[in-house]
Amino acid sequence: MDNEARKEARDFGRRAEEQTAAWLEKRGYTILERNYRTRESEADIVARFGDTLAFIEVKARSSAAYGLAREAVTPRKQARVVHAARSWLYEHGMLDEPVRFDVVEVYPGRIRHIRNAFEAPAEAA
Amino acid sequence: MFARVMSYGLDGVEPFEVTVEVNYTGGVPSFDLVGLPDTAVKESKDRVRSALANSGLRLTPGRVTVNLGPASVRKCGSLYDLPIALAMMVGSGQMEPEAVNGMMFVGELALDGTLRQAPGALSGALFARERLAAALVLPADNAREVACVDRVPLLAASSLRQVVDHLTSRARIEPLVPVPYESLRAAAPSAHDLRHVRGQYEAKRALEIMAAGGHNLLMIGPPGSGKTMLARCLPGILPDMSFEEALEVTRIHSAAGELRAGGAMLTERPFRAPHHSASAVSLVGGGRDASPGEITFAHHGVLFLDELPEYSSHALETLRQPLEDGFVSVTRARAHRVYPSRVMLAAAMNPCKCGYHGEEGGRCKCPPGDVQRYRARVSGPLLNRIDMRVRVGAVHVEDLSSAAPPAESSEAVRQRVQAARDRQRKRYAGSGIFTNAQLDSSMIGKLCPMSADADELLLAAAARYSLTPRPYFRIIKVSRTIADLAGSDLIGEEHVAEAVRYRMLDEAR
Repeated sequence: MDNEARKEARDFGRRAEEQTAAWLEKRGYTILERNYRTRESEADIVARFGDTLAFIEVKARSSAAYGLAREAVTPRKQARVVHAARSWLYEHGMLDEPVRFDVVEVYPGRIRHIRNAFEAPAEAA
Repeated sequence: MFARVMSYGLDGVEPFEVTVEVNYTGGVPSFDLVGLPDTAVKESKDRVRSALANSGLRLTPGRVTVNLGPASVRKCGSLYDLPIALAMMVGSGQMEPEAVNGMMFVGELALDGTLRQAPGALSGALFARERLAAALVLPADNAREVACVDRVPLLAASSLRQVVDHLTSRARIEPLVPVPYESLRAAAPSAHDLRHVRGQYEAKRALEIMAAGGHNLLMIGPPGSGKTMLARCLPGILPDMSFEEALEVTRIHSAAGELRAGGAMLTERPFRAPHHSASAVSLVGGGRDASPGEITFAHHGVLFLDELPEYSSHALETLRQPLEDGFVSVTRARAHRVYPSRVMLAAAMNPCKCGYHGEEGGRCKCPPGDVQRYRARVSGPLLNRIDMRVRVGAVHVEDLSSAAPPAESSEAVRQRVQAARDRQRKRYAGSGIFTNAQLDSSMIGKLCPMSADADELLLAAAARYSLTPRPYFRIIKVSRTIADLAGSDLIGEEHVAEAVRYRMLDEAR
C-alpha cells in the first residue's frame, strides 16, 4: 500500500466516524470525546446515553465483499478498547459508572449500531 | 446489587447445599465465575447469557461476579445455569429478591432458554424436602423421576421464561402431584422369558434359588447351550423392588446421569452386563472424581459377567471385597466415596478353551493341562464367594421339538420367588437385612433351624470336602432359601443335599 492509498483509507475511516457521531447525536447521545488515545490503546467515540457511558468502535466498509465490518473487531482490538475505557474512566473519576461497549458498522448508505457488542475478558483463569 | 439463590450439588450420590451469589455493579462490563467451578460450570456463562437474551430478558450491562459457595468444594456439571441466570436477574434489579426466597433451583439451560434434564434430581428433591425448602424448581425432563416425592412442592418448568413468569406472578406453575410408587410399577414384561428356553431344568432351578435368596451363581457349559439367554431371563423372575430400594437405585443412576431424558423412577431391578474387556475401575468405580462402577449400578439387582475367565484377573479380584461387604469405598486424590454394591452375581463360562470339556462323545480337543489352566484364570477366592455352580449342558434335540411340553413362564417362577422373599422379609423384619444371602454367621444358628438328618448330612459333607467356614455357611444360606421356596421353616435333608450339590459341582468331577 503506497502513501496515497494509506491516506485514502484513513480519510475513509475518519469520514465514517464523523458520520457516526452525527448519527448518534441525532439519537440522543452526547459525544464526550472523539479519538481518545493512550500510548497503547484507543477509543473512536466516547458518548453518554442516559446514565450509561458508551465506548464506541466504528468500523466502515465500502462493501460486504471482505466480510462484515463487525468481524474486524477482533479480540485484540476489543482488549485495546477496554484498556482505553479503563484509562478514560480513571482520568475522569468515573470507574463505577455503568459502562457499555458498542460497535457501529458503517456501510454505504447504511449504519448499524450493535449495543453491548463485547465486554472485558474474565479476570480469573 | 447483591443477590443470592439456593441450589444443590452432588458429592457422588449425596447432595449438599450450594449458594449461588451474584454481585452486580457498574463499571467496565465483565463476567467472573468463582467458587471452584469445573469446565462445565465455567461454560455456563455463555449458556446463561444466550438463554437470557433468547428468553426476551435483557440484562443491563455491568461488572458481574458469580460465586458458588462453599468455595472449597468442587462444583461439577451444568446444574447451576438456572440459579445463575435467576441470580443475575435479581442482581441487575429486574426481579425482586423476595421472588426467589427459600426456594431451590437446578437445571441446565440450552441456548434458546429451554431447560435440560439435571443429574441427581431425585437426590435433590429429597434434599429440598429435608431442608424444608419452599419449593424446588427443576427441569420438566426430571418430573417423572421425582414423581413419588411428597411433602415438598416441586415445580417442573420447561424454560427459563416459564420460571421467570412464575416468580414474577405472571403465570403460575402448578406443583407436581405426588404419585404413589405402586402406580409406577406397571408390569412391563421382560424382553426375555424363561418360556422360550427349552430344557435346562437344572439351570432354571438354580436361577430360581438365586433370585429367591439373593445368591451368586456360576453357569458352566459349552457354547450355545443358552447360558447368556438364561441370565437375561433373570430380570423377569426377580422380586419387585420396594420403594426404599427403588429410591436408592434411582438416586445412583440419576446422579451419574444414567437416566434417559424424561425417564421415570426405576422400578425394575438393574441388570448390568459389562463386556469382559471392562477395566477394574469401570467395574468397582474410580477415576478422577471417584465415580461409581458397574457393581454400584447393579446395586439391588444383577451383575452378569459372561465369559468369566476372559475378564482381566485384576478386574475380577477387585470385585471380591464389594461382593462380600455389599459396599465399596472408592478413594482418589480428590475424592473419597462409599457406594453400595449389594448385587447378585451371575457369571457364565465355558468349561475349557474349546468349550466342550465334559460333554458327551469326547468332543473336547484341549490338551491335558489346558483345561486346568483355563479354569485357574478364575481365582479360588472369587469362586469361594459364588454359592452355586450349575452345569448348563448342550440342549437335547427332543426338548426343542414342538411335541415337548411348553416351558414354565417367567411369571410363574417369579411368583414362587416373591413368596420365598416375603417369608424372608417377615423373618428378618427389623434386623436390617432382607435376604438369606445377607445373613451373617452369628444369625444363622438362630434363624436356620435344621432337622437332625440335615445336620448330619452337612457335617458329613464338611468332612468329606474339608469345608472352611465360608463355604460351610454359604451352603446353609442356600439351604435356607431352598427350604423357603418349599415353604418350610425347618431346613430338611433334601434342602441341604441340593445346596451341597450346587456348591460342589467342580469338586465332584
